[in-house]
Amino acid sequence: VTSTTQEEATTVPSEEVATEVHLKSGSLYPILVRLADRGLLEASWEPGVGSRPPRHLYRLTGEGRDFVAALTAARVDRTIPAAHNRWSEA
Amino acid sequence: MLGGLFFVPMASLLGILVAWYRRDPRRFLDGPAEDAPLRLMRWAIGLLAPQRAEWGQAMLGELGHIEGWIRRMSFALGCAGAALALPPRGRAATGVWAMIALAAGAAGLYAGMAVRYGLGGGDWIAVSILTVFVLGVLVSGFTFLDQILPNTVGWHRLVQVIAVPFLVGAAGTLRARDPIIGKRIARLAAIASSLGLFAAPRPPPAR
Repeated sequence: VTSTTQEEATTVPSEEVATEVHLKSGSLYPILVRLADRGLLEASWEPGVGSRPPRHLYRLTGEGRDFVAALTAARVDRTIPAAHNRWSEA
Repeated sequence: MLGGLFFVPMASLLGILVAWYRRDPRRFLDGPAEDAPLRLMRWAIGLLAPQRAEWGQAMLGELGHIEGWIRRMSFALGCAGAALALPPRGRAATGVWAMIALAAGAAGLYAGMAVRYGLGGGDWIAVSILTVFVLGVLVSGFTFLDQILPNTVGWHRLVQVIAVPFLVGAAGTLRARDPIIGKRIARLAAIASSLGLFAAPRPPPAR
């Protein structure tokens, strides 16, 4: 969810998010709802075209992007010491 | 033995009443149901709490962009699961969970009775029919009733809490040929109806 919306800096429909993160709708929507409740995600409506109904598009908020950045940094911090350990063992 | 079957009709009655009072045409799109995934989705978004209504419309809109019956059904099933689990739960979702609990309790009761006393062939047929009926109410009855029942206001609570238990009790009296049994049945029906009233959402205000 986060990488797609951050890197492309654009809004995406939930189906695209689901494909990207390999989640079914039953798992994805509760996550989207929670992210939106926490102000990390914002949704907008794409107008319907022809017989297609309007659909929700999602985008990270500024707070959401900060959260992703912090999360990514924390992940890097966790992986670097492990690499050092492996090198020292060698 | 047949007295034990009373719980399943009560569970079915509760489901029908919940469906009746849950009906709110503003929560559904106009137009006929096109396919099973769309009907399922309409049912599912009706389960959401009012503050989640926009998310329901989002799910419905997304379904309109998905091609293929299997993919649509898979998406609708997932959304139905999300609608049942997503907090805060609406009254309709609470009603469905109550129905599931009642059905599971009734099934457990039958299983216990079958082990303890044994069931005859006729009883098993009755149990099967009632189980299928309850599953039908659970799976499709809500949507079906939503589409066909009128949106009543005002007098419906009296019907639910007084008239329906009275009729159920009268039917029980005629069947058992015992007014005491009929009275007990009517009392249980009144309790079930009250539970249905609790589980159902408030009817929409007059516009």
